Amino acid sequence: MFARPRDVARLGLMGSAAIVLFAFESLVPKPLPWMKLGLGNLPVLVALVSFGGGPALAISTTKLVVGGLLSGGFAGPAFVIGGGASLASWSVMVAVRRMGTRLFSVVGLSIWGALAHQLSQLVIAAGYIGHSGLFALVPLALFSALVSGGAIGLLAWWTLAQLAKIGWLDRG
Amino acid sequence: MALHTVLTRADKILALVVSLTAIGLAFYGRYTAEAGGVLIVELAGAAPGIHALSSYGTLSITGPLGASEIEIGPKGVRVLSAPCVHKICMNSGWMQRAGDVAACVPNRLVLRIAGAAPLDAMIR
Repeated sequence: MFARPRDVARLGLMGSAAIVLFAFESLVPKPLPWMKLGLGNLPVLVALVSFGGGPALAISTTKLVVGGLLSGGFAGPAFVIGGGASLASWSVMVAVRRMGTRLFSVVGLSIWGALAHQLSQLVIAAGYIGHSGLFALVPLALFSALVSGGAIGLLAWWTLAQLAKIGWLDRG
Repeated sequence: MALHTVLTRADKILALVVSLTAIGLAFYGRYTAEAGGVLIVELAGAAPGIHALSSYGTLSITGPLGASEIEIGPKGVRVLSAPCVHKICMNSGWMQRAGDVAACVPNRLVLRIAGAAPLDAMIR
């Protein structure tokens, strides 16, 4: 994926940041599991914008597998739901990114990702249980995606601005 | 570096459309919701159980993980105890309107409140 050691190191740092943020967030109590902020997605978003789709997927997968092992929920229902939702979120963000960098800012990109994450989570959970009672939660999921996606998007925008300042994103 | 220099027009339209859809769906859900009449207990792989909200008491439903205790009282229905790790269904609190849902994914259990004549539930 990368020929240069410097990029490998950066990707590794972002991967570790994703795991640390994911683990940190799992310590914070939350009203509903799908109402968490999704701090672990911050490095995924930063990687997508600064490196591209492939590296973002690598970070998302790293976070998922290591995070799953850390929380002890590896291969359980929550893991399948989270994994499917992460994949959906990544696909949608890559697709939106393909439409050009001018149309949506990082914040918009993040909201798209959060929407895909929330809605696919409900679909997979409904598939698990085998009926559609969960779809009553759609308004809550939309609202939650807007808030968390917006917040993570702003954080990502700030992070990218700081990284640009110290020359992290330079291609030289 | 102010907020309005970050957000593009497409961002704002997206945020607006999502908020309006969420509000619209929430109101649609509220207006179409009748007062609940029955509790429908759906356990994966079993026929749904139907309990009148007027008959107070506790139910014990056994799923793949173990027994979930459910209370039917004057305030509605709530989950008293669950065998799962996260206890999300217990945090759902009291349910009383038609359409209210509490789900326990690990235990493959969904509790739904329906109106007085839940024909769709009975047919399914």
